[in-house]
Amino acid sequence: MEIKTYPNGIDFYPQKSLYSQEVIFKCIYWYSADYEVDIIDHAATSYCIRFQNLPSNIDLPMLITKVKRELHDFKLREIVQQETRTIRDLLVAKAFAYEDQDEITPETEISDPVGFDPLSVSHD
Amino acid sequence: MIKTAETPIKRSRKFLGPEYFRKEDQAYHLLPFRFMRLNEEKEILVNDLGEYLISPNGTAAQVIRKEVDPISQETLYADLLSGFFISETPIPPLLEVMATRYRTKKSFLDRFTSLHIFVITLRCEHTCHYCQVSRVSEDKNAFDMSRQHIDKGIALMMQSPNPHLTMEFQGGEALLAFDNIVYAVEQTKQQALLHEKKITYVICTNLAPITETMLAYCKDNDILISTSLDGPEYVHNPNRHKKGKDSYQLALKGIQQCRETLGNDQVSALLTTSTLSLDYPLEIVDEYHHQGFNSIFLRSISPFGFAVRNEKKNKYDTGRFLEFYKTALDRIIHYNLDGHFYREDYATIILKKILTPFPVGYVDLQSPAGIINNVIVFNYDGKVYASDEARMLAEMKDETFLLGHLDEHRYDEIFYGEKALAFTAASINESLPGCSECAFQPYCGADPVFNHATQGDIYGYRPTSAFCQKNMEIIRHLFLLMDSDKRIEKIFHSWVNS
Ligand code: SF4
Repeated sequence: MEIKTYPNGIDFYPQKSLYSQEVIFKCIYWYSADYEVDIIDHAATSYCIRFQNLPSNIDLPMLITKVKRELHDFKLREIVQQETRTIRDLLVAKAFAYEDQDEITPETEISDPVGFDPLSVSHD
Repeated sequence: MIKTAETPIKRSRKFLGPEYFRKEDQAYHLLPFRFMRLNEEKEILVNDLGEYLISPNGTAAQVIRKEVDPISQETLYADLLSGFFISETPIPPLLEVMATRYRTKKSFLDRFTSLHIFVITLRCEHTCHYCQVSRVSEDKNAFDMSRQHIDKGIALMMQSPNPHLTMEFQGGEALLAFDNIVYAVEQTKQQALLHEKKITYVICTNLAPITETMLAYCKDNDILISTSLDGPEYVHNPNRHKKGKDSYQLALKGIQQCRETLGNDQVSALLTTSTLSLDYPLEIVDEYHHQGFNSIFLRSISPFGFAVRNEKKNKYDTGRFLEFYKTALDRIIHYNLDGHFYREDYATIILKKILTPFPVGYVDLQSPAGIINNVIVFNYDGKVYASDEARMLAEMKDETFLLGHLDEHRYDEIFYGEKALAFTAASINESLPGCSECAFQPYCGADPVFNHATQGDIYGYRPTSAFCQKNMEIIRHLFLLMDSDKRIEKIFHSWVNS
C-alpha cells in the first residue's frame, strides 16, 4: 500500500481491488475520535485515507503499523461475513422458527466410535 | 500361538488417527465468528453462540485463509470444529443444535417485561449529591404516588405476558411512603391471584426510617430489601448527606435488623461508586466482607447528574473507574484464593454469558437491551419511563424516554408504541456501528439511554462511548485473567454456578 507523509499528516492509498469501501469505513470508524481523518475516492484504483493535523509528538511508525494491521483485520472480517452470510441467516431463522414450541429437540445422526450402530439394535 | 494364513487377523479396537477419517483435499468451511486482539500475544475468536477460543495472534487469519492443518494442528482443528467456528460440510450437521443454542442465548426475550418499578415517593431525608431525583419535603400530595396511579400501574403490570413479575418500590426513600407500599402489595396480591402471576416484591431503601412494624410486614409478605452501602463510614457518609451524619450507622443497624427478622438472604446491598469511592477500592471490598456480604456489585459512576456530554471527562472518569474496578476485583479474587466465597456481580453477569449457555436478564448487558422488554418505570406522577435512568434523565428536564402516562395510555401504546419501536432499533448491538464487528458483542449489550445522555444520540458512537470503553476493557480483563491463571478460571466458574 502506498503511503505518503507530509508535515502533520499522512495519506494511505489502499487499492480498491483489495479493500472494499465497507472495509475502509469500518476500519477508519475507530480512528475518527482521536484523529481528523477523511476517506477520499482518490483514483480509479485506490482510495486515499488522509490523516490531517496530527499532533507533533505522534508516533508515526506505530500509526502506520496499526492502520495496516486493522485494514487487514477488517478485510478478514469481511471474508468471514461474506462466506457465512447464508449460514448465519439460516441459523437465526431456524432459532426463531420455533416461536410457539416449548422445546426444540435437536436432531443429530447417532454414531458410535467403536463401529456399533445403536439404531440397528432390535428391541424384541 | 503361531499365526498361520488361516488365522483371522484380530482387528484393533484402538481409535484411528484423524488422518484415517479425513478425505483427501477436504477443505473446511467457515462458520460465522468475530475476532479481536486481547494483547500483543493473544487474540480471541467468538461466535454468536458465545463460544470462544483464545489463541496466539494470527490464528484468525490462518483460520480464515483455510490454512489450519487438521493433522499437524490437530488440537486447534478439533477446537475450531467443536466450538462451531468451522464445519467440514457446507451446512454444519449440528445446525439444529446451533439454532437451539442461539435461541437459548436470546431466551430472555421470551417472556417480556418482568421488572416493574413503582416510584412510590420522591421524598427523602437524605440529600446525596449525586442524586438528581429526591426531594426533602413533607408534601405527600406533591411527591407521593397517588392510589389511583398505583392501581393503574398494577393493572398494566398484570397485562405483562410474563408469569413471574418483580414489583420494586423505589424513591426518594420508599419507606417514607410505607402506607402506599402496603396498599400496593395488598392490591397486587389480589390481582396476582386473578391473573395467575407470581410476584417478587423488593423495597429499595437506605433503611434509615425502618421500624419493627415495617419489618414484620416485609416478613409476612416475603418482601426483599435492597439497600445501599457505599463502603466504610468515611466513604459512605460523605456520599450520603444526611442531617446528623449518621447514614452509615443507620444502614448497618438496618441491615442487622433485616438479617435478624427476614434472614440473611433477604437483604442485599448496592454500591454507588462516586468520585470519592474511586480512591478506596480495597477499603470498600474489605468493608463488604466485614459486614458479612459474600458479593458486591461494583457499579460504575452513573453519568446522570454529572457533566454528561463532556466526552473527555467521561473518558477520564471511565479510565479511573476501570482502575478502581481492576484493583477491587483483584482484592476479591484474593479473598477467594484464601478460601472465602466472595463474588463480584458485574463480572458474574458477564461470566455467565461467557461460561454458560444461558442468557442473563441484565438491562444494559443484553441485546436487545432490557429497556421496556425487561424493565419499565411508573413514576410517582403517573408518567411511564423506559428505565430507571430514563426517569432520572426526565428529572433533568429531558423527556426523551417518556413512553406515556398511566392516565392516558393503554398497554399496547406504551409497550409497543412508536417510541418503544424506535428505542428497540437502537438496542440491538448486532446492528450497531462498531459493535457489529466486535468479538465481545455476545457478552456485551446496548444502552440507548446512556448513549442519549452522554452523546446526544440513542445509537451512540462507540469510539468515544464510555459504555463501550468500560465493557470492552472489563470483558478483555476477565478473559486475560482466566487465561493467565487456571485458579482464577475456577473461581469464576464458582461465581456463575453459585
Ligand atoms: S459496546 Fe463496545 S465492547 Fe460492547 S459490543 Fe459494542 S463495540 Fe464491543
